[in-house]
Amino acid sequence: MILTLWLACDGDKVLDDTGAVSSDDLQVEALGSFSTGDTGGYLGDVSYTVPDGAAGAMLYCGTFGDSTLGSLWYLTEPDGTLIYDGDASGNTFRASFLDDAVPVLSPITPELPLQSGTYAANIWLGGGQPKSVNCEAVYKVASVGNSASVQLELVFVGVPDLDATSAKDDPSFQAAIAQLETEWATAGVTVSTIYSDFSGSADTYAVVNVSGDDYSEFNDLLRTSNPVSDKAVTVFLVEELTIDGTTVLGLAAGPPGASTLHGTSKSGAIITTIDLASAPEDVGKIIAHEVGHFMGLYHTSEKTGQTHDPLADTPECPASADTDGNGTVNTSECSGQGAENVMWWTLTDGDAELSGDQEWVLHRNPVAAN
Amino acid sequence: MKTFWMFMALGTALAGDLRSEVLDQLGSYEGSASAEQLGALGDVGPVLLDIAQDEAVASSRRGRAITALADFPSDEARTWLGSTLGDATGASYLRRKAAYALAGGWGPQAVDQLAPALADADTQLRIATAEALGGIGGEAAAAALDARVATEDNDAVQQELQKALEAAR
Repeated sequence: MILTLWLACDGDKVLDDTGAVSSDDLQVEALGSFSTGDTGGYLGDVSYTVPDGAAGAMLYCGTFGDSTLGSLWYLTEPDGTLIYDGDASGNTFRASFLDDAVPVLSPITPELPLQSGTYAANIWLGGGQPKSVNCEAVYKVASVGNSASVQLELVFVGVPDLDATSAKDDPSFQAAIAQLETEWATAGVTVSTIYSDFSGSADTYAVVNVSGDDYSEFNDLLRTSNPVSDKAVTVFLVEELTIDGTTVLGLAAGPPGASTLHGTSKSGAIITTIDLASAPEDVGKIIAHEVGHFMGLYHTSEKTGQTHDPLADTPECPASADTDGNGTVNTSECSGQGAENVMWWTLTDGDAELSGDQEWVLHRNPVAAN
Repeated sequence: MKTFWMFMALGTALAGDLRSEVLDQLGSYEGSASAEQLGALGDVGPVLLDIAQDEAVASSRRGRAITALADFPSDEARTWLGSTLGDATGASYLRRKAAYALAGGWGPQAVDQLAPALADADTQLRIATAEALGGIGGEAAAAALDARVATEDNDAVQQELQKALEAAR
């Protein structure tokens, strides 16, 4: 079932009785300021203490600017196990080089369940100059069952002939949402949506353009996220997202994104809606896929077939499946090997699905209500 | 005769496979296929042009096919891109893709085709064209951008014109 809330066009948040998404299960720990100083770019140990009963945790350190990259480099669990080593290959835990801020989400696989106690993260920042950042941690303290709900605030940013008011009766848009609902239902996740109109410059952000390595326009739009609920994920619906003129169907902050933190460059996802008229279900698939990334899911297999997600139950399509030799494992080459999954790297026909391990990860994300 | 029809059927099947594979590559969520990945599939230039023109194909894949035409240039493609860009009644999205493809595939030779789009009524097309011209760079592109700066009254377009001019010079 989809619970839908409509917002007034002036930006006021108007909720009906179904709109209350409790954030009572969230705890926030302010960790203070950390500096690279003369440590060669490392912040030093950022310690955060996961409380008893926590199902999910997210460490967030930022900001260090859109032109600087940073990454988690070491992560040690409360029992002393080093679960991520940036100097090693083949880590089960995942980290990416990200600009401006680094979210660290746990858990991202049942192989590394969240432990209560003190984690130590060391984050490396590039750029050469000393930098200071603030860090905080968010904990979700809740029992996780077989179902969960996720609230999405859908922000319409200059989508032609569509806004927060008209979308509720627009057959194409509702077909997109139905597809999202169908695919996430395979992981026991229900969706509630809030519709909102963007209050900034639609001319600037209707087409979000990433030029080269400059993600400032992308980041600036995410920085406007301000949903009604702490647990909501902001999804910006634009006419088109491009990188150097090439259409990108969608991009999530991170991954993973800054769950339950808003107004940051890692707060949400941006979705291209150009297919709403020609293939509306595809837009629902894009939302399902990108919010999956935001919540800590990775491609079951990357397009080269050389790397795979850290989950045991998602099929892998190896590089050896590339029978046409073009350097990518395509959908027809990977039938039964992950191509039917929501987190397959390319759009596919029909209803995609999520695995049990993916469900396990989604249900533990701080944005999920259990 | 029977052998002839067997070869014809095989050729049609292979062409269908190629189109299907190209469409799959154009459906990537976070990035499109590289020229190397597409080129490795075979003679994809005509297939890309066919997809670009096919109204039954999802818009994003048509747009990505148009973008990819820059890597597989042909006279036929250039003519179609020029007419698509110049068609004021056409879809804004496809016209923007045509602007980038002309710039990427034909560089300075495309400045004359691109320059009129800087005065188009479509705001997003003007922004895209400015960026495309900035990417081409050089005297002719800078002159076209400079000529538009004085009359452009939209802030977002003006901002892109300034960025493009800086890149072009």
